[in-house]
Amino acid sequence: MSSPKKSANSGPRKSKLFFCPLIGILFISFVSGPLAPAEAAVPRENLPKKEFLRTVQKDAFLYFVKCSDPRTGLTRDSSQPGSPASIAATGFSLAALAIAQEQGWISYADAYRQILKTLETLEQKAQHKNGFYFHFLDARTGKRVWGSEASSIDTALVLAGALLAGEYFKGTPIETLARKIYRRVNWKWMMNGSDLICMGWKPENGFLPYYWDSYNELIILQALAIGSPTFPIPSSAWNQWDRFEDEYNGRKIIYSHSGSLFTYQYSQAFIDFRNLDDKGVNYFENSKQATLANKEFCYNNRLSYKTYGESFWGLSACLGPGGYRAYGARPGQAQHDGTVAPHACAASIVFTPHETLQTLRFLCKNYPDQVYGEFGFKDSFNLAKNWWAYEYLGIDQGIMILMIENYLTEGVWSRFMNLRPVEKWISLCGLKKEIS
Amino acid sequence: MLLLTAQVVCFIIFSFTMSTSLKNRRKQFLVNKSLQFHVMGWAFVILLVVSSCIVFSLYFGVWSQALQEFSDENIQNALQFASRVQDYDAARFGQSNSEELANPRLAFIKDTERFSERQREMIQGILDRAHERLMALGLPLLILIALSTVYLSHKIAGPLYRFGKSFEELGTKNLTIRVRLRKFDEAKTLSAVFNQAVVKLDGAMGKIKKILRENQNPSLLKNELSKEISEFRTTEE
Repeated sequence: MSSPKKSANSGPRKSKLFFCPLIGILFISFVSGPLAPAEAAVPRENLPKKEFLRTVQKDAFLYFVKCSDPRTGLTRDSSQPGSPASIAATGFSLAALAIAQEQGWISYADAYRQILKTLETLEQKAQHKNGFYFHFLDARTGKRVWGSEASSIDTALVLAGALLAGEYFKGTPIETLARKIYRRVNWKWMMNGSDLICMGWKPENGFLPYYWDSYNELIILQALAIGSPTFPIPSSAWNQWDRFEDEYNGRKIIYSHSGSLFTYQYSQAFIDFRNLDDKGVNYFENSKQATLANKEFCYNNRLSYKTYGESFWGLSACLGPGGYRAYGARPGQAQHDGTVAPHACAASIVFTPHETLQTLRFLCKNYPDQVYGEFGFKDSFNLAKNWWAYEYLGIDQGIMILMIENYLTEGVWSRFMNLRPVEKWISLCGLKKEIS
Repeated sequence: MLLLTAQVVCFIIFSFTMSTSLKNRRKQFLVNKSLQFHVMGWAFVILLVVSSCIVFSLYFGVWSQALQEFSDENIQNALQFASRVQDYDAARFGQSNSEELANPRLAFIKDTERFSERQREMIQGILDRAHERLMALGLPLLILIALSTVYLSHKIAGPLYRFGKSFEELGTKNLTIRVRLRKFDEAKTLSAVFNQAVVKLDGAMGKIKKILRENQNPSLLKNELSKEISEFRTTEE
């Protein structure tokens, strides 16, 4: 029969083997860790232009390293602890990672892994309705939080970031996956039977009573919706939204309701409007005029507000002493209280390079500790109230990175304009390519 | 603990059912105290470990998460973000802040509504994660229980199997057979008694063979054999 020696050892060894996997499983299920934080030094104001801008861009990029969930890749709305993931910030993160690997701030392999992980989350885990992602998601699970809406503009921004990353990583699964999530979006459904695209949809109440009906950041949304290969909206939608025109300081501008700088920037971070003509309107030139008007509006109010008195400008949606506000200038609603956003100024680099650089260098020289931190320029400040934002917002970091890249290399524009949906939108909407 | 309780309850119900049948009524539950206590001890330890794993995972995995979610810091952050979401909506959908600026209480009520909505989401999230955790833990636990059952049953079935085989060998008149069990197998005493009996039978049969070999005289042989065989009791008598 059996050997007593062998049988004497097999019992306890077996029982040890039973518990080892369990202990391992329990250990793994409780272990997780965020990426280590990074510190940033204020760029010297006398640095050469390119070096200065690259420093600002690189520091802003660190936000996406630190504030993206390592498990899902979803990026938090703000640097404030407990902030949920924002789908628009995630779109900017995808674009920022692609730029960062090209600049050598992170390796190709790391960027590839992180982007692919994020896209897999967007495809499989992130909660959506007909392809439209909810505005705020749980960074860990991808589930809708804060009762947020399935947002059309935020979805457009995340898709723009994904498609751009696909262009940087052409011929890889990143490109395939980016196209897959883009093709999934039912743009026509978001029109809710109207001629315009609705701002969002909630499971509790259905479509929101707000539509993208006038000039602002809607152009990127319209471009992707009209150019969709699967569920395109009619090209006639391009002519349905209002282009209100007004004048400020002798500058004729097709303006957004809020007059916020970001409305003139977001679409143009991806789309190169420099040589595109829309029935006599060049939106690049329009944004340039709006940016100069924003600066002049601040100058004209310099006696009432200390911030403007020191030649600071950049009225855009940002944090303020009383909370988040859609600050802006004329023409438009022009809500303002002396709070300016350095990111809005920095993201104007393609429109007003001289004015932007001058202001940013002046900020670094005079208020380095208050205005510059871990992730570069802090969101906003108000000198009269001695108020300095202590946090960063993902979308504000993202727009800076993309615009600086366009200014230095045109890297985002050149890739995004090659996309088939963009070409389709240009063709269907009768936009004319000007010869520069 | 749940598993252990269920096991105990099942055992009581089973014992009660068996004991109520008059024909098969058990007069004594502990027929082999040593064996039964040994098996009960092993079952208790294994089920205790498995149950403890479930309890610790639930307690530390789920409830510590709940405590963390509702910490002062998180509540403050959530309240701040509730206000932020109001601001975002106002900025995006063009809802005026002036009404709220004029009446801070109105703003506070709106923030509170957002906050309570978020709290419901948080609790739902905790429950969802608890379910996920249980599901994730369920499979390894099932495997562990299955392996434990195999191990426990082997501790009992192994010796029974060996006894069966030994009796079969005995049936073929092989008296050299001995039962050897593993160190932690049950029924060690039984195997000792069995081996003792077989040793005696083996000795007696050996003696008979020796008598047959050494005695040529028929009457002496008969006497010697009768004397030796008389110790065996058979049904023929």
